[in-house]
Amino acid sequence: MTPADPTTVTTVAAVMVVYLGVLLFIGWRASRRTHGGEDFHLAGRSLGAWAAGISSTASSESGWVTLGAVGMTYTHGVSGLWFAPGCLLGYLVNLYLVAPRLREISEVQGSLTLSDVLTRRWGDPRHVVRITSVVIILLSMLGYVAAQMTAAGKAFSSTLGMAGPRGYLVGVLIGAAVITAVTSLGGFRGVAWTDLFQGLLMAVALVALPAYAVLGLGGFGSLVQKLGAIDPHLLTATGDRAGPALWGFIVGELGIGLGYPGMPHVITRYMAARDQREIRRLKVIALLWGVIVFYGAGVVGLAGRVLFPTLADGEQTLMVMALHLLNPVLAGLMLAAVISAILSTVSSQLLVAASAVSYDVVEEVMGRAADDRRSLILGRITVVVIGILGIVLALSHVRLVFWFVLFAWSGLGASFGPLVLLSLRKRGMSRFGALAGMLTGFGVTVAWKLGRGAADNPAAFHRVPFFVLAATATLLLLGRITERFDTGDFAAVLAAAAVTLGSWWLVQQGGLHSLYELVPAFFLAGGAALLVGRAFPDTGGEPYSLATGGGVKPKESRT
Amino acid sequence: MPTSYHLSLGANLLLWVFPLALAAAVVIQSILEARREGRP
Repeated sequence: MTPADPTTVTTVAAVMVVYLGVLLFIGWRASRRTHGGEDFHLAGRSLGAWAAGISSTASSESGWVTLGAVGMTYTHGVSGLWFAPGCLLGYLVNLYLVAPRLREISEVQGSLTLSDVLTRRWGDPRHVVRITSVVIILLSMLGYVAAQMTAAGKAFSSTLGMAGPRGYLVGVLIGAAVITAVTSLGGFRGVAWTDLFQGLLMAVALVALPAYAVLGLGGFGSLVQKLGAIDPHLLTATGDRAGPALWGFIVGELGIGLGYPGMPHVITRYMAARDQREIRRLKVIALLWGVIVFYGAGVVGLAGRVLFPTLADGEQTLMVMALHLLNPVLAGLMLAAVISAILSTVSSQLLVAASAVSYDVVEEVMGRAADDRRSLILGRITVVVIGILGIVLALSHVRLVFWFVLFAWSGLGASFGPLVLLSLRKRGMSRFGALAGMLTGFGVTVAWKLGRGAADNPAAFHRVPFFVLAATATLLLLGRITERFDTGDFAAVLAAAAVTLGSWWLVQQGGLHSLYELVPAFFLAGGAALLVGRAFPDTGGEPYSLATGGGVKPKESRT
Repeated sequence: MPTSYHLSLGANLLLWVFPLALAAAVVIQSILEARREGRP
């Protein structure tokens, strides 16, 4: 949607400039309070409930909530809203099961990243778990960052009326440059504070716009009546599905929530909260934000279907509605909210990717222990390098990178979700189990996803066994050559390969291909982790007990 | 066996009432927690 009227274009552009200026100002303010590695990677564990809570939610909801989710209810009506309870269930798991314990264990361990938590929890003398987790994070995050920068470029160019490849180029450069600068300068604190600003902007927009639209239509009853007049199917919660198709649909939609505990850019927010009191407060803030944003987006789509029934692309509903119903300043704010959803996710993913390289790889694996100042500089440079890489990928449309985005949510969710939940338990796992869980989660996600799309791309699906065998052989060989693998590591790789091949066979059985890949991948990864962990116990990790206040040795006291 | 009416009713309840109940529950829980801790 292009705001054709020149006055509107100018006003919207002015609002965008102010919005980007606010982001830069916040980044600069945060940089003045960022003095070392712990500050840069985790805001010195000093975040209050609002910054940690809204940052966790704004980071998890990318442009899909203001574009894709709105498009779902625009196209499918009420049945397009099923993502909302699914996501809220994910919020519940994160906020009530993960947040308090993860904050506690990470502080006692002195860990700064998700990979750090897992490796310190289960022991990782040869960095096998850390390297594997970093590779999965980088593969997923790089694709994600590039895809989000692409979305930001399109959003900027369309809202500012800049058509064609040149407009896209300018859009990508503006969005990416600002968010890379904010992340590099302000580190975790800059990201969290800008997320708070952007998350609140999203919440206000997704309350005000649907409320205004529904009131304009004569109230909610009138909206329902008019939707029914367009097509009665728009009002059915089941979307006219029945039998196994309905159950598969509901399980899959609710299963989206399984991804949340495995998102490193989301759960590290809990590690950065000041104390348990802030964690208790952020639970309420984050859950209410989720209810407001998900249902606000859903109602925008429903109202948009009545107000603009002939849109070619339902994902444009929010932007079209803002430009047609509101004055240019307010429309500019709504469009800033759309871009906020994208940029708040990019910044968090950029930081997670940079921390994985500068902290996990350079400082921990390579052992280049840096003082606080060097750690900060290294982190900043890494953010800039990954930011530039993201821009290059977004502009060059490398297909392989965007291929990874297809698997990013489910892949991260299945690789890390079960492990995070198991790591917060007292015992029952080992580092070998952790390796098996990560590899199984990622492998099953890819196999199942390709199985679901086998009708469209049968060649890719039928190549899965070849790729699994090739990847397994490569990993075993690498483990052997580098002498990093113990017997348990070899067993973990073989177990992951067996489960992945089993899932490849399973997805071809009747009816199962309609099941969302995250659901089987999550539970199979958890099962593989537990089985391998029990079969190959290892006492190298650090026992953790919430009841006794943690039995983990602090980082400083380790020899 | 649930009829299509029951399915539709259940689906609508899960879709619309669940978030409201959830929001109410977390707010009430936080108020009770604050009272227990003696916070305003």
